[in-house]
Amino acid sequence: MPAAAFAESNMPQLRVETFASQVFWLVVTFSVLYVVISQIVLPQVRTTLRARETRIGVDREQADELRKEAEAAHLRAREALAAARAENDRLLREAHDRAATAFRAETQRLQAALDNERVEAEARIEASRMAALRDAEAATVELVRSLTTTLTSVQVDDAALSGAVAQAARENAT
Amino acid sequence: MATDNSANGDAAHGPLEQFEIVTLESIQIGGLDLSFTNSALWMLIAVATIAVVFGGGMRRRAIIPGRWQAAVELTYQFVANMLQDNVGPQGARYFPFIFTLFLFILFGNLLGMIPYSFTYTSHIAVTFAMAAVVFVGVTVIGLARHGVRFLSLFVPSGVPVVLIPLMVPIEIISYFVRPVSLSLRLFANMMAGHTMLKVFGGFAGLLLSAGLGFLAPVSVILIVALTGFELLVAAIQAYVFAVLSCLYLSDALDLHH
Repeated sequence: MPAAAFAESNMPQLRVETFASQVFWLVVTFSVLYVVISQIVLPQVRTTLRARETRIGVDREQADELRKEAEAAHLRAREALAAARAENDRLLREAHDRAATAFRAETQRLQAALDNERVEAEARIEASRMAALRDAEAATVELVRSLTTTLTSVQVDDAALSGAVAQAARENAT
Repeated sequence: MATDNSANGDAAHGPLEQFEIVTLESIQIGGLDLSFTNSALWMLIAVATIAVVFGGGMRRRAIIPGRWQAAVELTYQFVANMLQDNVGPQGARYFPFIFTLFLFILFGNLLGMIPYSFTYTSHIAVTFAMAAVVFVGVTVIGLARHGVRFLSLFVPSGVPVVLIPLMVPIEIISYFVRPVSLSLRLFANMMAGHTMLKVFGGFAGLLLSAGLGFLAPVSVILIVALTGFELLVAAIQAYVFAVLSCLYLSDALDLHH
């Protein structure tokens, strides 16, 4: 069937008398479409795309700015943290130093006080010892006199007796 | 004309009958038959459809597009990229024409897939007229831009001098064959596809009347497959026509060969 149609050259496409009408209406409708597309559709699409691009650009710039701000804030925070840490270290060291100084001063003061007390105590002991020695001398003199008087009835001169006792005590001490 | 009667015959329609031009309103001007026909009607329907689809899609012009607007924008960017890739930035001036050409052919092809509609792109008169406009336009643009140097298009660069007497006629012939191949490709594709659909459809009917009805589903399944294939062809041929127009334009603008 199609072969026969071709053989008879029965193709509607080859009917020359229809060409003028087809081309005429093609030109008319194509021109209308061209005007609609180029004057209405394309400008609308173009403005929309441009608006979107602008919007995206603005948004991106804003995001960039915000990111930079955030980075700066982060940097500031890190610096502040580092400063605080340094300050903390400094305060700690100072406190430590102060405490050590105070400790040393207190130790020295106490040491001095102890030394003082010891010296005083030693002096007191020495004084007591001297007093005791004196008492012992006096007692010895008294004893010697009373013994001498009782045994020999000799009146011993007090001065000579105490001088002899003192002499003996000194010899004993050395 | 007389085609009115044959179109209403109730016997098995010939596969070429669908291409019949039917006068709807006779218009004669200066001895020319400019009648409003089914072809003209479907051109009008295509233009109206495009206007509704593309005007409607852009009615809100939203920053974040809906599906309809996205479809319009995607079509725009598809053609814009095609022009950018094949012609470059200087092709932007011709964008409205290429866009219109692409849509006019695409919608002509797609609307032709509706049963009982008419495919104006299946007529050589229409496809050749469009190809001729592209051909003449491109040639005029090339001559206006480059003057006589435009003729260097026919002398391929890097060809041995001995071969030039052979190459130049070949180049000239290939240049002038462009509108023919451009129009024949579209017309033949559309006509062949529609004829094939009709043949398979008619075959199903023949099988039924021949008492072999159990075989008819095979024919119908083939029609379904072919319909899908034809939708693909409809889009591809519109694309091919537009891309080749872009390439010809690029030749005329750059003279690179």
